[in-house]
Amino acid sequence: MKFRGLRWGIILIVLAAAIAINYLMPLKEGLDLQGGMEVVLEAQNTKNITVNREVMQGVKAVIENRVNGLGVSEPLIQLKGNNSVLVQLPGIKDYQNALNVIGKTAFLEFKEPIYDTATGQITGWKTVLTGADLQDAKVGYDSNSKPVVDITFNSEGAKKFAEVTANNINKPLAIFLDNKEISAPIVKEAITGGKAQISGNFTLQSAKELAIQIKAGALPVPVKLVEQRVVGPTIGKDAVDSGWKAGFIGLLLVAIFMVLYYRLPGLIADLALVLYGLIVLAIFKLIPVTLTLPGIAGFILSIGMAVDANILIFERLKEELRKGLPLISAMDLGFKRALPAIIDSNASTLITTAVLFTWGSSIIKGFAVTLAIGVIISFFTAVIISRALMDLVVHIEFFKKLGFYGAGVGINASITDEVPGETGISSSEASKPKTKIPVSLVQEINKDENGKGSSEVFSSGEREKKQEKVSTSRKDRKAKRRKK
Amino acid sequence: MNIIGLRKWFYGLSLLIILPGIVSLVLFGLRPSIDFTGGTMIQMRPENPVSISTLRSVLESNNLKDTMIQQSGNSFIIRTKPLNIEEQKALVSSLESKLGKISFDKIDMIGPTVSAELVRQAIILVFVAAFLIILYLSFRYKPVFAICGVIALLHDVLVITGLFSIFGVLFHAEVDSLFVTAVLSTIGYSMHDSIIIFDRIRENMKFIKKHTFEEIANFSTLQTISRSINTSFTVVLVLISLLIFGSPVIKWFIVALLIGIISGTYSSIFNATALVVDWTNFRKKMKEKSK
Repeated sequence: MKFRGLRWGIILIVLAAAIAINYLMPLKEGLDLQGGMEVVLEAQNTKNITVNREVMQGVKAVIENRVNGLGVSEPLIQLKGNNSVLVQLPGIKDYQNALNVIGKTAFLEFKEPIYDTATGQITGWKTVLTGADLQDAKVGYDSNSKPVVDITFNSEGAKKFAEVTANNINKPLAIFLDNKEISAPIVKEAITGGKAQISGNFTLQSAKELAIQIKAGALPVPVKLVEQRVVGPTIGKDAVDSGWKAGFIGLLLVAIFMVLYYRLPGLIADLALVLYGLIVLAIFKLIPVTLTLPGIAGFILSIGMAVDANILIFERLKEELRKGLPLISAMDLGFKRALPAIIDSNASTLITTAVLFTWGSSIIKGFAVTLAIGVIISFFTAVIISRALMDLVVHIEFFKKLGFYGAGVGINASITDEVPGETGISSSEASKPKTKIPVSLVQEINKDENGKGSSEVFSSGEREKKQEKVSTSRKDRKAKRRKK
Repeated sequence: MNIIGLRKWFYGLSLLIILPGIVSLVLFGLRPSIDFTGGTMIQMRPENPVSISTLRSVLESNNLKDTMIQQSGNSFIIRTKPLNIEEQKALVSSLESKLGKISFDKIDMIGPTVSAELVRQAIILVFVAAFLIILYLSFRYKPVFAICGVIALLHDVLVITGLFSIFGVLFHAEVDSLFVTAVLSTIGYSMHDSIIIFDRIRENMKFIKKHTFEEIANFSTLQTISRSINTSFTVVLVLISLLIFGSPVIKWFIVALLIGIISGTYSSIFNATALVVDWTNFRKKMKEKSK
């Protein structure tokens, strides 16, 4: 084996990095796992404004400001397509209020009355100040302890407001929100301090909402809710717990099956799988991949599929052993012959994941990413880590007994036979008690099994002992086979 | 064992599963979730016991006439038209005022434009994936392999959608964007399985002087069958434990994946290769006739 030191070097570096990352970094959980709300808001054209990129930036900025007022720990606000904004609020519980705060245009206007000079009746309203003249808005209480919104004008706004109030003493000054009048208090005197109070029929909650909206500014255009997903906190937690538990149980079953069917190589595959899990988790944390429920499913599924590469290799190994090849060359060939199939099949899975990722929506993307990372890393663990471990093992005298490789298990279909020997699919389970066997006992069992069935088929490992010391002899054998 | 020789039986078994599915598809179609129809879905658990009729009257007082209500224990699922922010707020507050404290587990709303987009997307996804895989296979193998692999794919897609149509009638199983994901995963997996066998056939073609193509296909199938069955078995083990212990939220997704994996394995072993053999035999006959 060339580059043996290099290979182990790479493996150890990767593993050390994976363990360090897993130890230091948290796993990002998606909305469906931690609970919360995700909404997509679509900006609407108005008579005066056509939605474009610039308008969308404004919408996004206002929504960001408003979300900050809600006090959510890790909100995500991003533009989506040409006219939508995606807002994620993990962990939020009061969905309806959050929706209200985010989705209202909150176009605030102060209007002075227009009088009909003949009758003295109010015939209309003229806008004199807007929300743009404000600096701050807070919840306060009026003299009757009713919630109100206290506003502070900026210097420009304070000047304007002083002028307007001076002109309108003993007349109403109306406050409009989104073209709806919310109150029309009568001006008692000119207000010069740049402060005013909006009173209406507020509850504490609605006063808070309005304060946040006013402070964040009005949206340049109205928005419409086009998509919403809310996940309750308990649902998310249940999903995570049950997902990992299910995954663990499933993989334990897979591990047991691998040892029963493939014996020693199966055990090695299991070890490689554990390392696979470590590496993939580390990559999820590094990128970071936000894990959703389908994402967990994709990850667990990818582990199930990761076994596939090992199975392909071990089946080949058995075939070569059945042909009577000595162990070490059988293993070399097994790896070599299985490689094209592994590459081709992984490529087709990657094509699928690429399609899912490119055109899929967010939930589908999560599944695609976890599956794709899984496929790539499974290739690495099967072709490099399993291989390295196998190389290590087959050179240990104790493990050279063919019973460890369970070649007798499964179907023997050699193409040179006219009628392939029908062993049927008999896993070794038949000859064992049906209980689940802890991995540590397997070697014991294998010792008992030695000499049963499998090793009788082959010439004993005599030949091989002579040959494996001289590395060139392996090449000779290959050359001979080619001549055939 | 002559698997390829028994191919007529295996075709028959496939038809046995596909035909009822097709009948159900034609008669009842699939039950689309709100992902595809647009609408609002609310999943909630009132703290006090509530009857469906009380719930319905609250909904009707909010002018929501055509609602679908499903009850399991004290958990309700309500499906109705897409609600905007104000309507939603009004509904939630009237539910809480009339029924007492309620925990909302899910409130999903999909607007009509989004859902139309999703339907389009789903269809495109399936076709693009299938097309790319055909391209890849034609490049690596002969086109006939690609075509037969894709026929096996169609078989799998028909099995899943057909069974889901039946499940929709029997258990109200809905088809959502996750279902599309499951179908696509199946496509990938099924191809993956066919490739392993095709790869073996390609390798065994060196024996073509001694054996017929049919024999070679049969040997190749037998040589790879342990691997196919074992790999599927391990994936199925994982999926079944996800089904039993995992979250009910993705139950149907896992069911779809299970059906897909099993069908994908079956179709690769018993249909894809068999079809290649039939095609090759057919070509031979035509050649002999033309002579």
